[in-house]
Amino acid sequence: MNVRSVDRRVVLIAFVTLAPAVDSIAAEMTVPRTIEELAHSVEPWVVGLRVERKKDVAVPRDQLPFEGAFRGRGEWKDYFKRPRGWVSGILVDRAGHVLTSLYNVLGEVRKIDVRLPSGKTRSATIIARSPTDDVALLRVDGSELAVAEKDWRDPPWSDTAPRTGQMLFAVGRSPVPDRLTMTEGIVSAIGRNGDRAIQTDAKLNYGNVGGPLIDLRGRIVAVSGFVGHTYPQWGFNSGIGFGTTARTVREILPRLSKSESIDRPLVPFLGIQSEVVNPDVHGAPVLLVVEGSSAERAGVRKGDVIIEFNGRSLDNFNQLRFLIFAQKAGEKVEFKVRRGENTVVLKGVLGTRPPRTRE
Amino acid sequence: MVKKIFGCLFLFVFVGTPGFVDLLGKDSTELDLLLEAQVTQVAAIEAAKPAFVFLRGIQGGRRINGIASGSGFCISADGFVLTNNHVVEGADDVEAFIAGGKFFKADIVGRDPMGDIALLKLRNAKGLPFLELGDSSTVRPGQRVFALGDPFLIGSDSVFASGAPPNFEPSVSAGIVSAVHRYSDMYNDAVQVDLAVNRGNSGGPLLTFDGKVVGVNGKIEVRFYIGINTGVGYAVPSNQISRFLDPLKSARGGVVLHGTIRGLGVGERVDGKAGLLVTRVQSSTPASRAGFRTGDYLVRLGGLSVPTRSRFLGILGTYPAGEHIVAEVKRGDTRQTLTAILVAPGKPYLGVVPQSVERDDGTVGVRVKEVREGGPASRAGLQEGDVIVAMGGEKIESTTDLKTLLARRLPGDQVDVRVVRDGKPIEIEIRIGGNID
Repeated sequence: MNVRSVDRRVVLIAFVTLAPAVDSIAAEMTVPRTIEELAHSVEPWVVGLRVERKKDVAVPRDQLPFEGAFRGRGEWKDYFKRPRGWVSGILVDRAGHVLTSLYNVLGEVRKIDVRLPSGKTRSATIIARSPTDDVALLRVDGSELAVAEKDWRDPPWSDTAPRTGQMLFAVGRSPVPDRLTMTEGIVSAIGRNGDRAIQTDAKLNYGNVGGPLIDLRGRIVAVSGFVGHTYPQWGFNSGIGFGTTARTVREILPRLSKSESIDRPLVPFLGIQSEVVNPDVHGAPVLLVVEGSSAERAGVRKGDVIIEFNGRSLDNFNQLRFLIFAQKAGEKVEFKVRRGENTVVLKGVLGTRPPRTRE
Repeated sequence: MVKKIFGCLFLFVFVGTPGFVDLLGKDSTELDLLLEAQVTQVAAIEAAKPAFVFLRGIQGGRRINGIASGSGFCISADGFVLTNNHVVEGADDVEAFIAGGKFFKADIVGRDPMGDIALLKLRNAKGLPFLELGDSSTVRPGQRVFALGDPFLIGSDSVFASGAPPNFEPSVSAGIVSAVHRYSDMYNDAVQVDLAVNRGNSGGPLLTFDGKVVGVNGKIEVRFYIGINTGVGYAVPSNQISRFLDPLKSARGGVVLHGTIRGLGVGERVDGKAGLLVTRVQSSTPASRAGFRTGDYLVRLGGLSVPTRSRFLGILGTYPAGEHIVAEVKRGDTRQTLTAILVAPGKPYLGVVPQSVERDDGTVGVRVKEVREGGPASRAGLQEGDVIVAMGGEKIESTTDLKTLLARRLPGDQVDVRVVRDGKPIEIEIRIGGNID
């Protein structure tokens, strides 16, 4: 049972539905005074998406009730289907590039419709994906711009670092795209996903995932996502949700706009197994050296204690992990190990972690 | 609907920052108020976070993520840590990481299994940031509160497919107090909250926005075994924990027992009566010694009203054995204030196997043949081969003496025991346990 999943039944009752502001795109930007006005202030960039699929992602057997030995009936079947209704995204430029959670467009997609803030519905195509940050970029089809130039302003991406405890509102367009929905919460934690995402307790359920998380000034702090799995399964919100930060989005948007998908970065890998054992032991004790790994090639042995990495002394294994993750695969590294009475300096090149068996 | 949200947040402005009530002037908008409130909120959370502790249990040499893991928080600079009993129960060793990932080994100082609280001590800790326990009796429904925790261990484990390292940042969730004095299984006097509490949050602090701990989050209401937050969470109240702190500190790794008013029988609630009818008072018991009489109506207990029998049990459940509790009874037209000592259930229990009297070296007493592991005597440091010569100043010459003297005591009593070890007399203080069998 995954916790960051959602339930379509919850959607209908959990959202605050707001009436559309008249002529929102052309409306003069004013400082919002109420929460309702705050939601409407981002209306020009929040779009609805309708995704039709030939086939959805298969649910792993071990996730099915009784491992699929019995076919679910009634609601059980629906539990492994995406609910009907629209999902949310963000219009990032007037050409019609739309950012959303990658989860929203997984599976064999037949057709995507984008409901633009003007009320027009246009079809769209996925042009790039970034699984690391759980985002996909779509482009509205056709040569016509999505928004007339005179009406266009760039989305209000936040340029300040989010702070834990800051208030957030998740804005979406679901289950029907002509009205906004919003849920309230706070920034639960910063620095998630290698400081590329934040965590929030704002209710994120099917439909508003993929939309913006905005602050009290109406700035987009993050794009909600990270449902936690790739297959369709909708539980309900546990209060643990995530969003890719505005900083990360702005960093990858230029590449995504050029139809360039961003592969998962190769995870740097030294190839030792260690643990945090004793605060009195300084360093990372090597419990196991992975065969063929860069650690083995560098001459690390079981029983060594790594006490320094690239010139920085180590208190414990956690610090070593952070230092390794700060490097890239293929980079040269130097480390000091304590071997019995001696201190040995070893040199090597970071490898990449073998793929995980389970996503 | 928007108004409804406003109402809830508005309340926070009042509760969290009384000073900002002045801002209700005509020029301040809804968002102005929230922006002001946010300043307090962010500051309170930033101040509380460094005292958070990530906990991992080790069982049979392996780290166990599922069972004995969760949250905790420092309550002293030298590393006393509070958590839930169910977070550390069954763990051979406990690892602790404070914010940022600094590592400590933790020892279990004392456990309160009935109240689901455990006190740990981080080894060689000093100068740590810590939180203060507040007064949970002042908490009101509707008051905005926040919780720190490590739900699903997302702060201390990497849950992202990209393989980023854990960042040891606790998760913060905010919400309101839904109800106070809730009775739910072992939670006798819980603070009910609507904020997100999930597996892994257990043992984490529940705080008011003045930075005081008013509870320890440990339980959620779920349906169909789907163990995720439903908006109904329970926290052990800080006032209960405060009463258990001293017994926990002197528990030497053992358990602290809860107490009851022995010999007192109370009935169910009777309509039209201000309290619960005392139906039975056994003679020569703490109840009779406190002055309870059959026919009294118990109106208040521990300063709180006693509208129902479950509330009576609920209030009692927040006290350790050995402590005194003040009761207010209505007797005819008068009101009486009585003080009763709370006694743990069961017979007084030491946890030793005594052996016949030994006289060859001139010592008269009872030889300890065996010390039951984890029992009161073992925790106090009594050893096999010790010869018990006196208890509470009274001589012990035979196993019968020991039994008689022990039977006069009550579970939870602290008693001085004089033993002869290797020919030298020593005094050992033992807290008598309760053998419920």
